[in-house]
Amino acid sequence: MPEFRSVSLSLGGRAILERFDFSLEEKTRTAILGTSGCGKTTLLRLAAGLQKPDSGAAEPFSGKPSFLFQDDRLVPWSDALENLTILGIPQERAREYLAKVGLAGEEGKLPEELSGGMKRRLAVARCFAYGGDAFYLDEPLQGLDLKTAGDVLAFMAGELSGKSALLITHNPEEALALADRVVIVTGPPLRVVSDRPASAFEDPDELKAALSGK
Amino acid sequence: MKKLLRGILVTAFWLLVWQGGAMLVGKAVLLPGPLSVLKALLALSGTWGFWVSAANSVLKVMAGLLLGVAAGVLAAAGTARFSALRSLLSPVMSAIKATPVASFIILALVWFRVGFIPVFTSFLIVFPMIWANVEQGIGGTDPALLEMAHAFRMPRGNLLAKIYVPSVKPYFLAAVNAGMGMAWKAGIAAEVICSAQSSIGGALHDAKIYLETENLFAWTFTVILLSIALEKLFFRLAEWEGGRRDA
Repeated sequence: MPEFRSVSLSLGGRAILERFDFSLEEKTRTAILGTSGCGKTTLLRLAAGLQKPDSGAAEPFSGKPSFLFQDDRLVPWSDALENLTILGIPQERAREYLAKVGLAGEEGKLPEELSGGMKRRLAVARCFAYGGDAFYLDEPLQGLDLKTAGDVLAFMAGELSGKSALLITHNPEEALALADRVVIVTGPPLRVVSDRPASAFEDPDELKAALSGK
Repeated sequence: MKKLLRGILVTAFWLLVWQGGAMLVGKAVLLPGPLSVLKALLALSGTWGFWVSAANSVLKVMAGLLLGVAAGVLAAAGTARFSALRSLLSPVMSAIKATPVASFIILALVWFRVGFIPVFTSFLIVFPMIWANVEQGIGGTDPALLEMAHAFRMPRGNLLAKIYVPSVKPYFLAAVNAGMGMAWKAGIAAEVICSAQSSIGGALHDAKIYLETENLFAWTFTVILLSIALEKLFFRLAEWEGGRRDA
């Protein structure tokens, strides 16, 4: 079972997690909401196994993991298509997913030739073309304008259905559109303020209110 | 066009200074004028021996350069991977870098036959330079990209060819370029000190012995011209390789 058992981690002399216990469920999409700097990204990195805890254990989801990093992490000297195929994704599938995020015709462009929003969509395309059973998503809609954000959100909702996912965001709409479970955290050190099914919220405003502690 | 004209004027100016100097000194044995050096160069280039010597020197220095590049890259890959190997190799590299070229050449005279000495000298000049630069390039590879590659379990071949090689390439090219110039000069110096047969350095040595100062200048010009030509060739190759990758 994917979970955190008494996980502690300090970074730069600052305690981000202190004997933190938390459990995730397979085939469930969990959104973590909280203010910036509270340790959400560290939580994601620990859950994905990209960061080792000082003590305790963080068990990842089972199955093949896929990632959407907050900072895109595109290969700067590889064009859009190669940014996908470099991971062993077949050409045809790569083209298909580029088209799905609205990047058809941009296959031959280097990341530096793409706008910030296009780079984000390229990272999204990579994450889902790679496939997998467990998704670790850090602020997936970051840097997208409203119109594209809506399209990408619909695309991601489709791709994530029936999968395990841990999603970091500070956007209530995003959380309710993509997740089954909504966890509000604060910190550091990180602690859970509220943990409810997404269905418990009538609309994003209610979650927004919960987020601001009202 | 303006640049070309200025180039011609600058060249003409220094040739005149040279000519004036030669006339002032008045002894061709001390400072031959540009015309007599040109005559010597033309005469030399009409002989079979000139081309054999030039080719011989170029080939030997290039052989040393290639060996140094290969060894430097391999060593860098090893020391970047295993820190114990770095601790082991670092003092050796520092020692090689600190040793005067002349010491190597004389040592090589004791150890090897004359023909191999320029190869050995160029190798020793290039090896630590390539190693240090390539290792720096490997260490400078973006950790965020490496983590991405690791997270997505990027195939090893792609990790090497598409992440490490492009990251290291600028460091590598800079080191080869600098190393080539130094290897060339050190290789010639080695030939002079061991008066290698049928080589540029050997010819320089002979010109000194027989006080043929025109020839000394002519051969030195040859060294400079070849050095420029090699550098141009190297950049062509690097560009061609870059263009091929982008295509």
